[in-house]
Amino acid sequence: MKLGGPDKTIFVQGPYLAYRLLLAVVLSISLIVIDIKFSQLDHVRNVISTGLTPIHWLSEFPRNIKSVATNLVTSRETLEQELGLLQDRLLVLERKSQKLASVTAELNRLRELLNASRILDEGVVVAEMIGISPDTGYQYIVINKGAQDGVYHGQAVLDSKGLMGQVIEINELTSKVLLISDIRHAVPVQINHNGVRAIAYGLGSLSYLELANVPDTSEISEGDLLVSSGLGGRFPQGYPVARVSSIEHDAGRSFARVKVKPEAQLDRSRLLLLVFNKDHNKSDEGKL
Amino acid sequence: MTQSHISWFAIIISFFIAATLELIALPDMVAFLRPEWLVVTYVYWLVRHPEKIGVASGVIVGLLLDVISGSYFGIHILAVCLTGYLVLTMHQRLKMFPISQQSLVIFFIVGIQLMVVSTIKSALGNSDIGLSYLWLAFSSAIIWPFVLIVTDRLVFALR
Repeated sequence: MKLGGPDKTIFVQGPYLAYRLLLAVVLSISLIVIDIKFSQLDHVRNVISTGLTPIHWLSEFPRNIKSVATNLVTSRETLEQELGLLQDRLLVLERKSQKLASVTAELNRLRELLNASRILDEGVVVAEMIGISPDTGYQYIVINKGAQDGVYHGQAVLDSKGLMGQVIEINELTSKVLLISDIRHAVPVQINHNGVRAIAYGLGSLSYLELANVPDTSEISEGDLLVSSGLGGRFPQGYPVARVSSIEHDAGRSFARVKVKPEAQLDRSRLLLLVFNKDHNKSDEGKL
Repeated sequence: MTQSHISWFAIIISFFIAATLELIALPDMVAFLRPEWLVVTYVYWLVRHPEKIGVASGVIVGLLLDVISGSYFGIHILAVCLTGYLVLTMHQRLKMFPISQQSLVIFFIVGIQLMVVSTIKSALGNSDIGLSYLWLAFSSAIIWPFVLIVTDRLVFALR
C-alpha cells in the first residue's frame, strides 16, 4: 500500500503545480499591496489573532509551570522573610507617597499660577504579559487585556521601572504592545532635571535606544534620567523612560551620539501597567 | 483508503503543536536559533502526503505566519508557497535521501523561504536582519530528524 500512494502523486505535480504557484504568487502580491495601501485587512488580522489566543496561552505554559513549581516548594521561612521585606518596603513607600501627595498638590497650585495644564492622576490597570514576538525584527509583546477591558490604540504601557511601549493592536481578550525598543518606535522625552527635550528612537535592541539630533552643546551627561515629555500627546508626561549610558562627540558630525538604556525591564517584566488617560476619548482614535 | 481520513486530524494536531512551539519564548541566549517549526512541519506533510498538502495549504500556513509575526499579509504566503513548490518538485528524490542529506535540503529550503521573507521585508523598508536568518535555517535543519520521528509516531498513534 505504501508504494501505491506515492506513485499516484507523480501526476499531482504535473504542469498544474506551476500554475498553482503562479496563482499563490499573484494572490500574495495583491495581498501585500492591499495591506500596505488600505486598512481593511486589519479586521481579518484581529479575527485570526483572537483565534490564536489559545495557542498563545499554551505557549506560555512551560513558564507558568516553572513559577507554579517554585511556588509549591518555597519554604515557610523564605515566605516569612519575604513578607518582612515587603512590609518594610511598604512602610518606606507609604512615607514617600505621603510626601508625594503634598508635593503634587503644591505642584498643581504652582502650575495653576503659571496657567498651565494640571497633571492629571491617571488610572492604571494591571495586565499580564502572555506572549512575546517570535521575530527579532519586530518587537512586541501580547498582554491579557483587550477591547473588553477598554484598552485603546496608542495607550501607554509601563512596568514597575518605566515606560515599556504602546498598544498597537487590540483584540477581544488580548492586545499587542509595541516596545519602545522596536526599530519603528520613537518616544518624545526630556531630561528630568533640566528639561532638555529629545526623541528616543528604538534600534531593535532591547538594551539601548538612541537620542536623535542632540546638539553637541546640549547640557546632557551620563546617568541623566529621561522622562516622557508628553509632547505629541501620545504618552502621559513624567514617566521614566531611560537613563543616558554613553555620549559620543564626533567632530565630523553636527550632532552627538547619545545612547540611553531603557529603565523598564523590556526583556523580563511580566506584570505591566496600562495607563488610562482621562481625556483620550477627545483625541482622535490614533493609529500608528 | 482508510489512510485518507485519519491523517487530517493528525495534520491539524501537528500544525497546532508547531504553532505553539513557534510562539514559545526561548531564553535570550538561544533566541536567535528558534527553528521554523511551522515550515518544517509543512515540509514534513509535503513529503509524506503530497496528495493532501500542497501549494494551496501553503497559503494557510503562510497566513498563520503573517499573523504571528505581524508582517504584511502575503509576505509569508509567498515564501511558504514557494517552499511548497520547491519541495513538491523534488519530493520523490527527497524521500530516498538518508536523513542527514534530507536535513541539508531542509537547510536550503528553509533558508530560501527566510531569504524571500527578509528580502521583501527590507524592500518594503520594514527591517533588515542581515544574514542572521541562516541560523534559523540551521536550527530548522537540526530539528528535521526529530520532527520526522515524532510526527511519524503521532500519525501512527492517531491511526
